[in-house]
Formats: sequence, structure tokens, C-alpha cells
Amino acid sequence: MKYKDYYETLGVPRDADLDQIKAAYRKLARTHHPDMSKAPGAEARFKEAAEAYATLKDTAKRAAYDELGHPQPGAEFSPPPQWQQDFSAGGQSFEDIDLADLLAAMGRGRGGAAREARPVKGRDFETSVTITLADARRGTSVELNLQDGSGERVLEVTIAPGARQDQKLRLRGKGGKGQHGGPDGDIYLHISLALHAVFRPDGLDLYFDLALAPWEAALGAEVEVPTLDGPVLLTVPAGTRSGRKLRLRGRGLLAGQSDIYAIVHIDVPATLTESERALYLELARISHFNPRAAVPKENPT
Amino acid sequence: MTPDQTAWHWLDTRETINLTELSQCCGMSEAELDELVEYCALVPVSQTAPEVVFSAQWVTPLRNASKLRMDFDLDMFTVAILLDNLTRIEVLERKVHSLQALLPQHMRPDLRPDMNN
Repeated sequence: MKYKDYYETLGVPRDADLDQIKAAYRKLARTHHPDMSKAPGAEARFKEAAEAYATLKDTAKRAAYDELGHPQPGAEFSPPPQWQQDFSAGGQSFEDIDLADLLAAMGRGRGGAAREARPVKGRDFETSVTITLADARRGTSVELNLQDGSGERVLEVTIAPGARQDQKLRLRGKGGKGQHGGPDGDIYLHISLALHAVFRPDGLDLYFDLALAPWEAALGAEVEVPTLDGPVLLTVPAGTRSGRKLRLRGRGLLAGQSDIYAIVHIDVPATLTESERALYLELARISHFNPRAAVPKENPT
Repeated sequence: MTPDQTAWHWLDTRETINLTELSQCCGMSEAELDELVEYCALVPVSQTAPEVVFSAQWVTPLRNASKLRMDFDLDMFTVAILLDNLTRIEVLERKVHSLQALLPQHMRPDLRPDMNN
């Protein structure tokens, strides 16, 4: 078993009190926690600090650790013989055990009635899957490959119609095996929706941009628009203005209960033919429409 | 290998979860969860029901808060404040997402759509 200098890891003297140890740990955790730092090695550094703190904050574990003396970090050492009797679960050998695992086991196996093994819940698994909007609308099934102590397992997950972005699912009792009568762990599945070329989801609704020609917006039109089930005709009312939302009822991610919204923007030809130009000039001449009529003429500042 | 087909539970307002199961899910004791209820950081669906139950949407933020509690050695009062803020962040993220859905695609340089779906 290799020795680890937990005091050195936390950067505290060997006679540091609990407040010093806690302060040192929190500083390291704040610096190296994976949520705080993406620097290479930060996560490993955080885990080392957490391992050191788990032992040094516990009076009994710290006393046991201090019994080991002060070998060089990384040096091979043998735990005191009484550890085998007092702390080793099931009388297994120390040889293949990591110091952190051994010290953690002490908390669970320490003398008297506490030697009776406590129920421990099995490990939870967290995994994620990305599905298309079409699959979210009609429902789908995906296969998850899980690797744990009992080998490789394949789980088929049926995702009901109407999944949203960042939806979470839980499968109870299908994670790692519990120990000493503890419940089996769970599986947590995070669903993401793949980016779509046309639609942008918001909850169960979908949005897309609908470009209209000026005359379509002014006069009204029937235009073909996409849905996840194929194109449909959408009636654009006369006088539709830019930014207006037109609804396709029941066509969202949960059929019948969510919608598609077309957000209108009015586009113009980049170049005009002679006749188009003539018509626009005629329109400009006869129309009294002023889209800036409501804008204040004075500078408000 | 034959897939193990099984039913999954949505972790949102569609489902509820009792105190014991919530405790097992998030790695906090029932007494600790009661403390969060006292701080009004965790709100049951109904206090008057025969059994106190919670919306399953609490599972994910509580698991996140529980992990941060372990990582930073936080006390329960701090966890209560943390849970409030995690919940606020989630609500704000949803609002941002809603507003982004309204933005025209050409104003979203972050979108790199997969054209195949």
C-alpha cells in the first residue's frame, strides 16, 4: 500500500486544528472543483483534496492515519497489524486496497455494534441521450450500454411521445447492486434534443421563421410550411406584420397538446426586374402608409 | 445481448415521490430533507395529505445540491440557500431558452443545425 501525505495535500501542518483543515480544504475545493476550473488536472487535484479532507476531518480516522507515522509520499508501507482485525471487512488482505478505501471502510466497520454492516445503496448511473425532434414527437426507444461490476448490460429505454429539452428520467433499482440489504441504485437519463435545421423548441412548442413576400403579408396567402409530419398549408391573414406569430395547432412535440409557431418576417427581392421596380414606384406614389408614423420625431435624450 | 426493457419515470411535475424515496434518490436523510422543508427551500405538493409527497422535479436539483454539499462540506442552511439559487438558475435558463426560440435563426450564431433530422 502506498502512503499519501494528506497534510501535504491540504497544505496544513500536522498539528493543524479542524478549522485550519476545513479552511484549507474549502480553498482548494473552490479553486479546483470541476464546476469552477477547467484547467488540466484540476479534477484530479480536487479529488486528492477531498480524499485527504475525508480522513483529516474525522477524529478517529485522523488518529488512525497519524499512527502510520510520516513516510515519504508514495512509499510502500504496511498498516499496523490491528487494522486488519479492527477495520478490514471480511478479513481481506490489505495488499490490494488503496489507503483511501481502507480509511473510508474504517468509518463503516469500527468496533462494537457498528461492526454490523450498514445497508449501503447501490451506485447510481447518470447518462445522457440525444434524440431528434421527430423522435421526441412520436416517441422512441434507445439502447443504453451500462458497464459495472456485474459486467455489461444493455437497457432499452422507451421514451414516450412529448419529450422536452433537458428532460430527466429515472429508472428505479436498475443501477448498481445494494450492499448489506441496501436498495439497488438507480439510473438517471438526461434527454437532449438535437438541433434542427428549421425548428427551435421551447418546452413542447416549436418555433420557426416564416419569410413572406411583401404582397403575401399585405394581401394574405396560403403558404406551404414544414411540420415534423410533413408540409401543410398555412393561411396567412391579410395585413400580417413582421414579428407576428402564426400558430399551427397541435403540431408541437406532444401531438394535440402543443403547437408550432411561425414567426413572420417580411423579405424583399435583392434585385428587381424593370416591371417590379415600376410597380413598387407606383405603390410608393399612391400609398399613404407610413411605418414610422408612431416613432417620436424628437430625440428623447 | 437481450435488452432489458423497462419503464422509466419522468422527473417533472407529472410524477410525485415520497420522502423516503426522495431521501434515497438524493443522498440526504429524511431529517435533512425535513430541515429543507422548514427553511422553505423544499416544498411538498401538499402538507395535509396522509403522506407528504413531493414533485419529482425536485430530484435533480436535490441531487445536484447534495453533490455540492459533499464536495464543499456545506451545512444544511447553506444547502437550503444553494437549492434556492439552483432552482432560480434553472428557471432563468428556461426563460433564456424560450427567448432564444423566438430569435430568428440568423441572429443565433450558436446554432449549427444538423440538417438530417
